[in-house]
Amino acid sequence: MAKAIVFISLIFLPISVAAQELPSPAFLNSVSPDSMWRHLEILGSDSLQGRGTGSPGIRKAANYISSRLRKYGIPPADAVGSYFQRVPMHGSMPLADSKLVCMTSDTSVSLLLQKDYLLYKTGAQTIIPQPLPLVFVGYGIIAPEYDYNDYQSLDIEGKIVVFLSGEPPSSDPAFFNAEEPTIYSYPESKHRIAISRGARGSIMIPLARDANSRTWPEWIMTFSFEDITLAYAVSSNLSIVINPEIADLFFENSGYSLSQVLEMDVNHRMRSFSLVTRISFRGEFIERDFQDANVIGMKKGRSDRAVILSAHYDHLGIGPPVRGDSIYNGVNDNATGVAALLEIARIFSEIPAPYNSLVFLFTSGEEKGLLGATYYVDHPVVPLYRTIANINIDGLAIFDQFETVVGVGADLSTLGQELERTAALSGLDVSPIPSRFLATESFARSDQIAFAKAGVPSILIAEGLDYKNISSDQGLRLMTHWMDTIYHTPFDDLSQPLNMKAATQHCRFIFTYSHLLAQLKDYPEWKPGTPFINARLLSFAEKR
Amino acid sequence: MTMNRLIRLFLLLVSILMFQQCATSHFMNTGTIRIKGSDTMRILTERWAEEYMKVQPNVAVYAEGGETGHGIQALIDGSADICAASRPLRANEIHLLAQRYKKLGILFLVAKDALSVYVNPGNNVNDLSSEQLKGIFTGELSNWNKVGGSDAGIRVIIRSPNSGTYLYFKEHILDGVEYTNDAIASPTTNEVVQRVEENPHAIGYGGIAYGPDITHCRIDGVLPTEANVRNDTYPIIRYLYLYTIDTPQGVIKDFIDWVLNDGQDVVKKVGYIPLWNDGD
Repeated sequence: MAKAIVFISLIFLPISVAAQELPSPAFLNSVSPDSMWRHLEILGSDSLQGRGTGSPGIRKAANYISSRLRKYGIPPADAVGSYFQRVPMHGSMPLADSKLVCMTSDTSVSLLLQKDYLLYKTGAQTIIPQPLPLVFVGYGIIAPEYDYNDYQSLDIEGKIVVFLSGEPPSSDPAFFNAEEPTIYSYPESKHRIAISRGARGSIMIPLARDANSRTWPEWIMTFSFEDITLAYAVSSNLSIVINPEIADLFFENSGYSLSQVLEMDVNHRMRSFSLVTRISFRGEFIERDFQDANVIGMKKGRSDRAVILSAHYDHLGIGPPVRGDSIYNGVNDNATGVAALLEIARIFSEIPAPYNSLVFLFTSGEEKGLLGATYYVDHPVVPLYRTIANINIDGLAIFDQFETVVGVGADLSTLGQELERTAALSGLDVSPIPSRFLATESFARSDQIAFAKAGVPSILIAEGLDYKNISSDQGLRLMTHWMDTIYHTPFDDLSQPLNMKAATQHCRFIFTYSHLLAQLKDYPEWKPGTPFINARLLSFAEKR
Repeated sequence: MTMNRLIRLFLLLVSILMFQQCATSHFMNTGTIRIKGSDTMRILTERWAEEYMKVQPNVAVYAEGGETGHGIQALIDGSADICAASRPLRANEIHLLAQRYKKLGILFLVAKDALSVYVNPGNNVNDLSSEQLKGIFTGELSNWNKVGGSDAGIRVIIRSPNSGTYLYFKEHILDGVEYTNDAIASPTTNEVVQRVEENPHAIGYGGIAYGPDITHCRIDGVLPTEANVRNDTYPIIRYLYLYTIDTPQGVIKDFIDWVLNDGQDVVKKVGYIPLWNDGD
């Protein structure tokens, strides 16, 4: 009898595993270009006014999403009690009356907001009533793993540090990841290092050769939207981006000009030194406090663990007009992702409870610095130590149906192995991230990084550059053109060409992947050497 | 098999499992350990934290950099349990500890850090004194014939000024005197090695594990081997330390004991010298 049971198990095991992994085609086929479009034409319409964080438009979007979840029979999470997880936020907009005064040894110059400088951080903590000395700190980086420290033997307590954007140029993968930027290149990282060392503020000089380089008008454009933070954000101090054309003011009488500093860098002799120039700052702001919502639905599983599927539903809202259009609709950033997540929730509502629960998380404030996702990891509906993975959706394939997929973050954890399995089940291949889209940069650009920093293995799945009807070159050209001319402009709207068959294929793929993770009994793990392992172990140790 | 026997077997299995659970939990620690201090040691303390949490999954270990001085301050103000230090405590820091806690601090030696001096394999000079090294890197000695070599200018390769290795060599070998202006700066040890490999007249410095296409110089007659670092005959070394206010107890004690045993493997993996080898 026992032998017979083993034999029968052997016969049925592969079938039952395959059945678990492959959802019925009928469910997959229920996602169609039409079903996707029905969400898009509402979420991407002008009536939602670009779903800006803290705007009436985003509230309409939240109501639409919750109404769909209710219709599909996906209930709110017990921990919240409604579909809306309230996220307290604070908005601040600097005014032209703000006074930044720069005192060199022989003159005093008032600098003008926008023309000469921008405020990276705003608010009450940014005020410097008495002139404070400046210290130049190279790139403003402390990275012991690269034996690099711009603050070595330097006292910056109570002073304002001046640093260059980006990070030391390198062609060595073992030193700042060669050409690919590391987390140290982000202004936020540098500002945090500065204030944790006791600096009263920081000034960044943006360099044209930096991987994230923008022209000064592009910097102005980026900063023309309201600065929004979580109401309980990390303390901050004055943080300025200076127009590089006037940056030499800071170096007056210091013994070096900016061009000499850059020359030092070329010779790997960058050093930090005190400057003679001092600055004071008195900011004028319009401020407001409000609550936006993360919209959350949950499909309960058989275990106490969960997989989080996330998509941000905010975009930039109303902004500077471009060719007469001031509504930044954000159709592929990220109305498409929201449409996909709604469709995935609908399918899960129609199938039996999987092993792991599924949390459908629609975040707000992503464009303002991943605020909704950051709030969520601080207030999870399933504790993070029982949250096995995050699949984030930010934009879908809109050019053509695809034959390969890319896992952003797949190389960091065992989630990459599950991606390979899903691709095999879907008749696709997994390809590496195209070099134009730097891997570290891509991983840090959306909500998945908030989960990673909290220790939860996360991934974002994009299409590769191998298409059904167009060549890879054509695909790359379309993608590059989209990034350069449509992304974060009012033209990411419903009038742009959108290949809904491609978007549908993308949605079905993510569903298949989610379905596989929903059955997973083992915890996905970070690979050795990734920076998120400690956060994961801490959340396990503290059961949070 | 009768039902009774099945039940007895089941109960036996349950009791074995429960015993194992109790036996395991007896050795399981819980709690939080906060380590602050030296940037040089951050990479080491972070890896210790990671590996220790894997063996003690109910202990949360927070490891932060900063600098040795900040770590000691954190120890004094109670915001850290352990200070990671790449130098001994200064008199004023011990004074502060004594004032606040009536203790002088407990020092644990946890690893060694050493620097090797590289020359090209074609160079017949492979033994230098500390004084000669100082002369070469400050520019006082600029020809190999001054140190027993051929008549050729010395090409000095140093690390970039923002590297800890740059500072360490300057403080320990040059006694704080500036490097020669003619030195070529390299952002990484790999690049130092490459320059020394390519130039028969070059001299540089870096970790003792680099090679094999460079010659590691004897310093004061001693080769930079792990054994010579450990037996304290090689001159360019420093200790790395953990400090606590008083003799540690509980989970802190267990962590430091682990650092001095299994944690020594991590020391080697991140490029420092363990205090002892297995079997020492």
